[in-house]
Amino acid sequence: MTAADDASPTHRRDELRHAAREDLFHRAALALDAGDMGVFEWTASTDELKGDRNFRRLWDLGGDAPLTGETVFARVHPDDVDMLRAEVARSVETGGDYKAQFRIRPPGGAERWLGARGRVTGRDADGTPATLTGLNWDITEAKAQEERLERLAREMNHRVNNSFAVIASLLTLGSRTARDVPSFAQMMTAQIHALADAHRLAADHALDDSDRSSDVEMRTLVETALGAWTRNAGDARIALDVDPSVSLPARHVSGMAMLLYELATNATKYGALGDAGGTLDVTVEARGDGTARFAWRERLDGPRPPLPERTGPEGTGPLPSSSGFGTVLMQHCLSLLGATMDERTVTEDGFAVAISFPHR
Amino acid sequence: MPALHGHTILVVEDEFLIALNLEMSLNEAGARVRLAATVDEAVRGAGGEVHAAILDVSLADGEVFPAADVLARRGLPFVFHSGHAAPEARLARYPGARALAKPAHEGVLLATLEEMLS
Repeated sequence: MTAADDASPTHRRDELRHAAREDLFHRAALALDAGDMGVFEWTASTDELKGDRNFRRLWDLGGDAPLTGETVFARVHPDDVDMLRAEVARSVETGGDYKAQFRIRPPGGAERWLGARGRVTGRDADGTPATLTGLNWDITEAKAQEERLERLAREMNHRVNNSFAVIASLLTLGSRTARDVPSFAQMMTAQIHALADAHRLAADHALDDSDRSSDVEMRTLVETALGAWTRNAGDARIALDVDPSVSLPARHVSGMAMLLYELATNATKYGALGDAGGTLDVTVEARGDGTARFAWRERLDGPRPPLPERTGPEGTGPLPSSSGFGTVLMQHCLSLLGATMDERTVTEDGFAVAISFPHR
Repeated sequence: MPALHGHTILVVEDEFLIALNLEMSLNEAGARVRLAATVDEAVRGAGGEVHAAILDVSLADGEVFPAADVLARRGLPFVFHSGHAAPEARLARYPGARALAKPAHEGVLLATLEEMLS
């Protein structure tokens, strides 16, 4: 070969093509590495398995000892291995692509999820699929997230169905006891808003990523539930003083929301948020023993409208209630919150309720 | 509702309003009611003098299955009343039990109990 041949356009083109291919291989390797992708090639007839460095790391297969398909199948979770074998067999039999997600249990290592994709890349002289080339990558984190969302969806579904059951119960109980349709409708509307607020707050918090993701701050709950009244207070003066350290677990939120709406509805009809005007003080303080005290105090500026003289089912005396079953509603809330009633006082110009409840 | 008349029904439900409502409906149908709101109370109730039960699955302190086991061992009929999406899979180990999605229509719930008791 002469120097002139070396510099020929054909040779130059080949050289460039070769360099471009090298470059592409290099980039592909970098990309696979950046994506933590493990590459493998499996030969069906001999069960011989070749894996790159990432592949061996994903499977905790250190060193460079020869690998076989059986070596890796032995590390697959017993519940997933049949599915994986079937998927590989299907790919080899039909020549179709293979796609799987499975758990592996490396000896001494933590269980993790792998994703896999592959396809037939080599065939025998008679056309039978002979080798399978593919990728593995770690999907443990994505799987954990998927499970978290599934759990969340189940929990939300449960809460919504429970709210519907509570609404149905309120309607049935109300129809047995209520004598005044507008009052009953007002109470029902308030309670539906209470459940909607509770659901929205619990849902917002459930999407946070923290440990106690579903806890709801008491301050947010009080401000949300009483928002309709604090924004349109009229002559009333409303003061909210809620300890920012007090939170409620998600399953207690609806009980507190229902209690707040019931108290506010009553205050509109008979108390400080009504025509008489007055002051409303709502305080929540942590006691330091895992319980908190919720106090609701109304002081009226003028004469109170007459209270309906009704007796609760437990014989608790006259109820300043919008519906005639305020006591039932109150008991429902207390039981949901695991709370006890410390005080309930009705005077000429005032009304007060105080409860103790466990908090986070 | 003759089938329910004179029977004692265990109602396991931790939502006070729902429990109260079921109690009133069952009383109107002539049945006596025993209420339970926790897993412990439910297990005790299931071992007591009851003829059938309505079981909410998810309670504040856990799931109701220990009580369901007691009822199943005694051959007593019971209905799961659950707000969970797909109770079927989890309830499969109680072939004699029925499952109604919560909130079940009161008429359907009572009719189901009657049918199981007759």
